[in-house]
Amino acid sequence: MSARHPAVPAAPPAHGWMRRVRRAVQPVVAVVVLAAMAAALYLVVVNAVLLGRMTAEVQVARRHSADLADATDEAQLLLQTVTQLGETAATQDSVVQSGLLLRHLTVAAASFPPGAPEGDELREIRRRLAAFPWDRLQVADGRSNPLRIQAMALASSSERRLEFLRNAQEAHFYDTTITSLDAKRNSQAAIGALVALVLVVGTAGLVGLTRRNRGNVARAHQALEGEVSERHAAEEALRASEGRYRSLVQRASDLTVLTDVAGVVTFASPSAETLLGFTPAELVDLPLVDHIDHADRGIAAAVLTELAAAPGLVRTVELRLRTRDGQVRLVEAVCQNLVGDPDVGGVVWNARDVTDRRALEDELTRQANHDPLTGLPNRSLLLTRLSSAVRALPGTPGRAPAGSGEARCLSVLLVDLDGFKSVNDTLGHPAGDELLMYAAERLRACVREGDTAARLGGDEFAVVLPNASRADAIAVSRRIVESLRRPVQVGGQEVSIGASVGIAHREGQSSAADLLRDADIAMYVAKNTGKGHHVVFEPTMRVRAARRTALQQQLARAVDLGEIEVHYQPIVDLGSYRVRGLEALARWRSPEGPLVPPDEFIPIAEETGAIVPIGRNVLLQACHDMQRWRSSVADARDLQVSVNVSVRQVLSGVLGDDVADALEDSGLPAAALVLEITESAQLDHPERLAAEFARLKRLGVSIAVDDFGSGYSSLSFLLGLDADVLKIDRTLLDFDTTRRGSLVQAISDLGRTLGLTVVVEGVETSEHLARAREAQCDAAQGFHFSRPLLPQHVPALLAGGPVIPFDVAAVRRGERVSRRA
Amino acid sequence: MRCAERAIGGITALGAAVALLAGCGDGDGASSDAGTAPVTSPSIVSTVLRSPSLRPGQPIPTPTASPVLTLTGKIGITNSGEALHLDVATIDAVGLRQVSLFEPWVKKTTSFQGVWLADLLKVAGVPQSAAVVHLTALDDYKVDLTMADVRAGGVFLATKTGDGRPIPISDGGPTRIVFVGDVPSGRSAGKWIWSLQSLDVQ
Repeated sequence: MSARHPAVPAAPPAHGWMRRVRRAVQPVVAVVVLAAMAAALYLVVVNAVLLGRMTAEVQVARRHSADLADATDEAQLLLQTVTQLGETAATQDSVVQSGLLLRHLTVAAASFPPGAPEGDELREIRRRLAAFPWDRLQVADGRSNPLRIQAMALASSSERRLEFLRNAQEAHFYDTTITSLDAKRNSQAAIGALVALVLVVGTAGLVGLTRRNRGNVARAHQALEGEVSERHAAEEALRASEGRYRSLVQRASDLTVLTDVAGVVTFASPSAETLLGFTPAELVDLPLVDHIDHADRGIAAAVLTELAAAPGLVRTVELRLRTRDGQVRLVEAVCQNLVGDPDVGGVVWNARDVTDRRALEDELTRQANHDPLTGLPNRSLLLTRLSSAVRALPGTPGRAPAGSGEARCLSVLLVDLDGFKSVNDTLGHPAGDELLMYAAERLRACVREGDTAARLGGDEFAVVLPNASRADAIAVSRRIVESLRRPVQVGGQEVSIGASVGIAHREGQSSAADLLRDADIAMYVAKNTGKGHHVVFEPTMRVRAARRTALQQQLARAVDLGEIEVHYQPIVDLGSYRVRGLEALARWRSPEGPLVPPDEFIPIAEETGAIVPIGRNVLLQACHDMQRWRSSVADARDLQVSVNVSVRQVLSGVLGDDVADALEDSGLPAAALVLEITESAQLDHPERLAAEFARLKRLGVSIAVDDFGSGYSSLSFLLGLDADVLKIDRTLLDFDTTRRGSLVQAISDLGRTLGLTVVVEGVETSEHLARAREAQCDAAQGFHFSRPLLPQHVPALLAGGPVIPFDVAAVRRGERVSRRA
Repeated sequence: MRCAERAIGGITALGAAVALLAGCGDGDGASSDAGTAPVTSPSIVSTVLRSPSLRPGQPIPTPTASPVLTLTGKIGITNSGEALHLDVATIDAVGLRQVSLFEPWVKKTTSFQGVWLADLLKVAGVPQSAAVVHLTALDDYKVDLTMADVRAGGVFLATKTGDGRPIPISDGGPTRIVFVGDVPSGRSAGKWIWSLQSLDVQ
C-alpha cells in the first residue's frame, strides 16, 4: 500500500484524517481477511480429508458391489444348471458351477473387513452350499427327486440372500456418499469465498509482492481451481452412482418398502405397481399391513414388534400379499430395522415374489410324495406322516387297560384289495388302473380330515388314524370293507372286489415301521381267514408270521434238498375190501426234523408258487412208484394212483406238460393216473380250469373232484369238468342224524347218476363205514382202513389181499401202522 | 504494514501448500499398471520341485488323465486337431515349482505348485511373433496377458495347492494364474484369473 503513496501527493491536508483512518483500518482489514482465510482453509482441509476417505469408500463399495454381483450371477447360474439337469446340464456341470460359486463367495467374504456382518452372512451361505453333495445329483433323477428339489431350494435361497446383501450394500454406499456430498455442498460456499478472498487479496497485493510471492499465489490459485474442478468431478460421480442406484431400485422386480416402526409406509419402490397393482404413492402413509393377507397379519405384526425392539436385526419372513384385484401373491421378505441409520430411519422390507417358484416347488414336492395314478400320498409321505404321528404321541407304557376303548391312540390300517389281480388279468391293466382309482376314491371317503389314506403300491393301501379310539379304528375298517365291496363299473363291466384290512394300534414304544409291519401281518391273517374282513393285530400273530416266513424260505429249497416225501393212503373197494387205488400225499420232512402237515405248508407253497415244483415232484414220484408196484406186485396190475393238483399248478399252464413227462418218464399208462382237484378251489377261473382239464383228459388221465361238499358246490362245474371220480368230503360223514346221513346218500346217488365213481373220504370208524356202505359208495379211504403209508410199506399192503378195517382209536394210540388179514 | 504484507504472503503460501497436499491426497490410490516395468524383479522366487521332463520341441501326447486346460492359436505343438489338451501331469512335466505369494482376493499369503506360464508356452511351441495370450475361465471370465509380460517372468500357472493336492474349483482350481513377486502385470487383481479353461495365443 505504501507503494501507492507517491501517486497521491497532491491530496489536500484536509484529507489527512482519511489517511489516518486508512492506516488504522488496514491492519483490521488484514486481520479479518486473515481470519476468513484461516476459516476457509480449515474447511478446505477438512473437506480434502473427507473427500479422500470418500474416494476410498467409493472404491471399496464398488469392489463389494462387483463381488456380490458376481456371486449372485453364479448362484443364478447354479439354479439354472440344477433346473436343467438332464436336459442341457450334467452332474459335472452342477459340481463345477457350485465350485465357481463357492470361490466367488470366498472372495466376496474376504473383501469385507473381519467381523463385518456381510462377511459372516457370506461365509454362512458358503458353508451351506459347501455341505451339499452336488456330485450326488444324478442326471437321471426326475424333477421330483427330493435331493434335486433341495438343491434347487438351496441355490435359490442363496441367490436371494446374495441379492439382498448386494442391494443393502448398494443402498449403504448410496446413503453414505449422499450424506458426504451434502456436507460438502455446504462447505462449497466457503471454498468459493476462500478462492474469492485469495484472488482479491492476491490481486491487491500483487504490486508489492516479490516474484516468489507471486509464484506462490499462482500455485495456490491453480491448486484451488484444481480442487474445485475435482469437487465437481466427484459430485458428478456421485450423481451418476445415485442414478445407478435409483435405476437399480426401479428396475428390480423386488418390492422395496420402507416403513416406520409402526408399519406405516414411508417409501415404496416402483415395482409395487407390477407386484400389487398399487402405485408407490398409493402405498405411502398407509399401514403396510393393509396389503397383507389376513392370515399373515399376525406374523407381520410379530416380526415388526421384534424388529422394532432390536435395531439392526434382520428377519426373513414369508407373507401373502393382496393385490389390487384381490389376488394373493406369496413373497419372501427380508426385513431390517435401520431406524438408527439417519439415512434410512425406518424398517426396510425387501420382498420378492416367490408365488410361481413356490408353486413349482410345491408341485415338485407333491409329485415326489404322491402316487400319480390315484393322487393319494405314497409310501414315502405315509411314512413321514406316520413317523411324525409316532413322535407326537408319547409311548404308552403297555397295553391300554381294559375298558379304555374310548382312549385315543394311533392306529394303522393296511388295506389289500381282494381279487384285484384277476381283474387285472382278465380285463387288462387299464381296467385295473381304473379300479384302483375307484378304490382310492372310496378309501378317501372313509377317512376323516387329519387321517392319511395312502397307496403303498400295487393293490395295497394304508390308512393312518393319528388320533382315534380303537372302536373308531374298527369302525373305519368296517366302512372300508363295506365300501370296497360295492360293485364298480370298470372297462365296461361290473366288477366286484373286496378288501382285507389289518389293524395295528400303537402299543408301548412301537415305531412307525413296527406299526406298518404289524398291520401287514394282521392283513395277511385277514386274507388267510376268508378275506373281505378286518383283523386286529395280536402279538401272537407276529410269532406265526415269523414261522411262516421261515417256512417260506425253507420250502423254497425243499424240493432241491429232497425233503418232499410222498406217502400213500389206500382207497378200498367197498364191495371186495380190496385196494383199488392209492392217493399220493405230499409230506415235507423239514430240516428241523418232524414232518410238516400238508395243511400247514401247502397254503404257503400255493402262495409263494413253490407248489408248482413240489407238485411236479410228487407227480413224478407217484408215477414211478405206481408203475414199479404195478409191475412187481401181482395184485396191483390194475391199480390207479391219485395225485392232488392245485389250481395254481393248473393255471401255471405247465401241468399238462408235467403230466405227460411223468407218464412218459415212468411208463405208467395214463389210465392209471387220477388227478384230484379240490372243489372249493374251482370257482375263480372256471373256463380256464375246464380248458386245462379237457387237455389233461385227452392225455387219458382221470379227473377226481376232491372234498366235494365242503365248499361252494357247483353242479354245472362238476359237469363242465367232465370228472370221473367224486370224492365226498370227510365232514359229511360226521353228521350222525338220519337226516344228515342221507346227505352222503344223496351225493352218492348224484354221483352215480352222473356216471361217476363215488369215493368217501375220512372213514375212521365202523359207523362211518356203515354209513358209506349204506349210501352205496364205491370206495372209501380213511384211518379205519389204513393211515398214509411210507412207500416201502405199500408192496406188503398190496400183496396182502383184502384190507380188514380196524378201530381207528388203536391207530391214534400209536400201536401200529396198519393191519392186514 | 510490512509485517502484515509478509503475513499475508506467508498465509497465501501456506494455503497453496495445504491445497496442494489435499490435492495429492485426493489422487491417491489411482496407481496404474501402465507404468514402466522394473528392470529386475528381485522378489520372483520359486523352489524347483521336479526338473523338467518335457522340453521345447518334444511332442506332447494326448493326456491320459482328464484334460484341465486347452491351448489354441499360435502354438507349434498340438495333440488334438488344432488344439493342445493338457492334463495336470503334462503341465507339471514342464518343470514343477513351488511359489509363495500374497493372494489379493482372499487376502492371505498362500503357496501353490505349478509351472511358469512362459515355460509352458515355450514347450507348446509358441513363436517369438506371438503378442498376446487370451485366457478364458470356466465361467467365461476373460483376461489378456501380453507375451512381453509373460516372458518378463512372474506369471505362474498354478496346478496344485502348496501341499501338492489338486486345487478344488471352490478355491479357483483346477488351474489358475497367480503372479509371483510384485511384477507389474499382476498389480491389478483382475488379472489373477482362476478356474482356467483355455488359453488362446495370438
